[in-house]
Amino acid sequence: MRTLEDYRAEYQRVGVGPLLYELLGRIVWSTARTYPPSEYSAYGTWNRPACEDVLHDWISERLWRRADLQAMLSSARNVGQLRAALTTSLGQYLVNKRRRSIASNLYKRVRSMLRDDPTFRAVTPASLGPGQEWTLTERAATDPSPLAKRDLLRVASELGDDSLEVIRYGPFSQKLSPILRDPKLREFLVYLLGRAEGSLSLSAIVDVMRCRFSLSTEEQIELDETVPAADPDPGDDAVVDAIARSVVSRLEIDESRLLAAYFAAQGSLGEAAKACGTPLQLRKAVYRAFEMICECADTVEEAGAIMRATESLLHERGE
Amino acid sequence: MRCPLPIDWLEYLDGPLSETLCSHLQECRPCQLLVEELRRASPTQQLSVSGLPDAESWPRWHETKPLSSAFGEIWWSAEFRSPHSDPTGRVPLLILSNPWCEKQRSWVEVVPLATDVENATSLDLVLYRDDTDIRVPWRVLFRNQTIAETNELDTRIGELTATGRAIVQSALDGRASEERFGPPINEPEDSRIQPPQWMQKSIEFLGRGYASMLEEDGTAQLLPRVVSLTMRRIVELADVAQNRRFAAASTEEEFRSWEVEIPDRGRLRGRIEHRFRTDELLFVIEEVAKELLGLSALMWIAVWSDRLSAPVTSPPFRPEMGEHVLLGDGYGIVPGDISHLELRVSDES
Repeated sequence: MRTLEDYRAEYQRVGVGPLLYELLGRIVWSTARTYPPSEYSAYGTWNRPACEDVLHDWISERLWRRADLQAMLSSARNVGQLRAALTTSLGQYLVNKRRRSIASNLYKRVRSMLRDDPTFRAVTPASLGPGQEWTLTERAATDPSPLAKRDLLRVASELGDDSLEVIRYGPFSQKLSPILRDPKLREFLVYLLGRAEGSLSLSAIVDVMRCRFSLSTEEQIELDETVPAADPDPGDDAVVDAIARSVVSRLEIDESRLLAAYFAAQGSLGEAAKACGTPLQLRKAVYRAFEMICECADTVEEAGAIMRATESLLHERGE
Repeated sequence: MRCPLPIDWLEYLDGPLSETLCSHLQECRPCQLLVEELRRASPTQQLSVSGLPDAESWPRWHETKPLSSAFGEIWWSAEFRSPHSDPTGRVPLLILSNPWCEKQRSWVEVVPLATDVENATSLDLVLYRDDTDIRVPWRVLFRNQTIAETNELDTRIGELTATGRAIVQSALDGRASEERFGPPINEPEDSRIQPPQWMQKSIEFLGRGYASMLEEDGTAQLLPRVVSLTMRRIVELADVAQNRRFAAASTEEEFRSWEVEIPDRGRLRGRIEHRFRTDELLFVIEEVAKELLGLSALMWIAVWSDRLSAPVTSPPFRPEMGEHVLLGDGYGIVPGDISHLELRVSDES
């Protein structure tokens, strides 16, 4: 059994050497499996190449670039704490990597709308990519907007969430939340460009939208047009079952009992709280499960199907 | 009760049977599903990746143990021990004040740091690589700012650069650009409300020392911990002529007030008054805005001035509109002498 000092000593000598490498590899191999591959793996499965990709990117992006491994080795008091911290870090990495694709989706939709809708026109060449400037077709002015990001954000905030029918990313939003349906996205772009006092670049528009709709990104998004959409078929029972299994396997034992109590109470938090006597923990467990379900559901119907599968998994007797 | 980690189950499948894991598995449906999945995926494969960072390029923080700490330094906290649980891990802390002495003990303002900058909320300042000499992006968890005894600091690992100092100071003054903060929390279930799991226990311990000092002082009883929040000075210019309905040309007058946002609880705003006859310094509460948890917690206000050798702390109060909180008397301090105000909140949640 390796000690924390073994890992620390190796890190001081060579960074990630054979000991840490083996530990990290085993954490990826085991932990990735608690996330549905249809949603979190670029390969749609947790095979060896998919796990190797995750291991490489996790090490490079988090453990090395952000010094997370140094921080965890310095902070942990024993190997158990180190392993727990690494497991949490990997989970966050997987979730955040996937969330970045929400902003990426938004970028693609805004770009398509600007290109395809005659309401908008480009005032600079397409070769500029994200730097291409856009304005309303009816506008004669082609100078770039003089407004600072803060001012643009103020304009963007003049349209409220209710009037835009915002589908907000969060515990009860849908997978890869579109934030705005197409008609409302168009309304938003017309409003923003109409009050920008000039043209705006595609990247500036998306940047304002990220702030306006609280879509944080870890770093600049590199778009890869060749990557196909990984949306699962909502009717695919196998996918629903796999997602439900991943939801349950990420719960703690107490959470699973509380969630089972919630289902037994026909979805009534009040009744379930009476039965289990821990309303706060109950609410937390139920909402956590909802969040995991909604992250992976395209539609309300699919969320319902995952919920039902989750319920039956909790009622099944295991080994 | 926490479940074993996925890697623990991998070892359970690869190695000799563990009685503890066996009995847990019999009861735990989540772990049963995970073990089924791991069985399906076995055998464990040795993963191999290329293009990893060179040995020399891995960050290595040099830990030192100076006798004293100062504003802008980054320290590891000590481990915290309690009779009923394992010692906690250490937490990186940014020091927000120079040490001061109170009740013969030495204290500093501290705020935890975390590297998960993507989880920054609208109360978490984001520090870029160039803001510290250890060149790591951090989020500064102002929501968890507190007062620690200096012996709760373990080792020093770095400090803010000049730009970092300027950014942190501007955040403390309420002037930092909003681009330096994360998106706001929109719903009570937002997991970013809580600090990262690995540091939660340590954060619970930080600030307890100061709370227990107040308890010994008889000003409070059984305080869990104290959260310390810097109050911002707000300067407003008002058109006096218009306010007083004078017809003459307008003249502007400066109004100074102090404001503080209390995460999840609300906002307090008020002004400082000085009563010359009795030499009493008072904080008059002019605005109370309540949020999710409300403002029923016990609070104190600490006053800092160049004319005082140590901060003066008010008696505890629960904020109400129009209330006059006595900050101190007989100190000869007028509002203009105040350099810094802090609201200390009993974190009963």
